[in-house]
This record gives sequence, structure tokens and C-alpha cells, in this order.
Amino acid sequence: LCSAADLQKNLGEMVKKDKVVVFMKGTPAQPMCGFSNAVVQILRMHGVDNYAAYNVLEDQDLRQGVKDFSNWPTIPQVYFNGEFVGGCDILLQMHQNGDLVEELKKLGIRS
Amino acid sequence: MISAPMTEASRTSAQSLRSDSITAFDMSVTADHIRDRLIKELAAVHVDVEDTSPNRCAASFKVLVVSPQFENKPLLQRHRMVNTCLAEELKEIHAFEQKTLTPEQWKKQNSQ
Repeated sequence: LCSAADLQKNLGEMVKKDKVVVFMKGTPAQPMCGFSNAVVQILRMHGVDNYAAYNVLEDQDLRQGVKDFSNWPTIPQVYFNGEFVGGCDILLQMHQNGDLVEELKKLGIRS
Repeated sequence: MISAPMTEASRTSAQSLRSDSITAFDMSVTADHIRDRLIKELAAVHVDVEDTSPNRCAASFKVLVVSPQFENKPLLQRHRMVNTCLAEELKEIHAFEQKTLTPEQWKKQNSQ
């Protein structure tokens, strides 16, 4: 059993383990919410296939824990290089204004 | 278009009322309630609130907030300001979409 403090520590490691990390409802293959699906589609459009996706519907502690970790009230949540980027609205706007291409370039991902 | 002009006086009273309005919060979040809060706390000059609940299974809203307080602030910080302003309400809201613009960006978007 994991205490809240342990979970926060684990989250710190989880977001750093992979260049792109997404906390979502469902999985990339089967998103369970329109907003999570939007994030998956945007990443796919930019050729980001290799990312860590964690399904918060499978773990209620994770679902609350990640909100506390990022001080962000909603799911999905996207992290680049261990840094919180935002939710679906922010990723969509970054996609529309070109910032996403730049940010992915910094990660060494060409979209 | 300015839908909610604010006087200096009403802004000050809105800030002092902040704690009261939190205790007065009654579980049913309405579009008007969200609009009022954003106008009062973020000095928003234009707010659109769309109640998207009928499309979903629970309380859902889509907001456009135009505020001079967003100037020189990155997108993430703007969204955090809105989240903080509506922290109590968001606990009851299932889905929440937001767009944050400065008055200048809003004018530019409308002229396109």
C-alpha cells in the first residue's frame, strides 16, 4: 500500500522517466473521454507515438494524486521532460499556434 | 465589445466579498455564477460561458475569458489563474474548457 507522500514521490519519478508523459482517462488505444482522446489525436498528428500514458480510471489514488502533484484540477495532463505542460485546452492551443512543434523539437521529436 | 464594464468601486467591493461568496456557494454551479466570479476576481472585460452539460453526463462548462490581467503571462499561468478563481466550483464541475485572451488578442480575433 502506497501512502500519499510515496505517491507524490513516485509521480515525480514517473513524469521524468519518459520525455512525454500523459495522465488520461483510458488508454491511447481506447480513450474513455473526449478530452483525453483529443490529446492522443494531437500527439499522433505530431508523430509522437512513444510516450508514457497512465490510465487514471484504473487507480483512484493516482487520479487524485496527479491533481495534487501538478496543482491542476482536471485530466488529461501532459508533461514534457518532467515539466507540466497543461491539459487538453493548452495542448490544443499550442498545436494551433505552432508552439507544440517548437516544444517537441526541444525534446528531439520532429513533427 | 465590452459586456461587463467594471468601476473601480465595484472591483474593490468584489475583492472584499471574496470569502463570503465562497461560503455562500451552494453546490449548483451556474453559468451566471461562473461569469460573475471571473468578472469580479480577474477583472475580465468579456466572459462567455457556455453550459455544455447537456452534451455530457454532469456539470460541464466552456468559458472564454478576456482580461487585461493575462497580459505578459504564459498560457499555463493564465489557465492557472482561472482555475484558482474557480477552485471551489471546479470541485463540482465534471468537464471544463477554457480560452484565455488579453483584450488586445480578443480585438484581433474579432477583426479577423
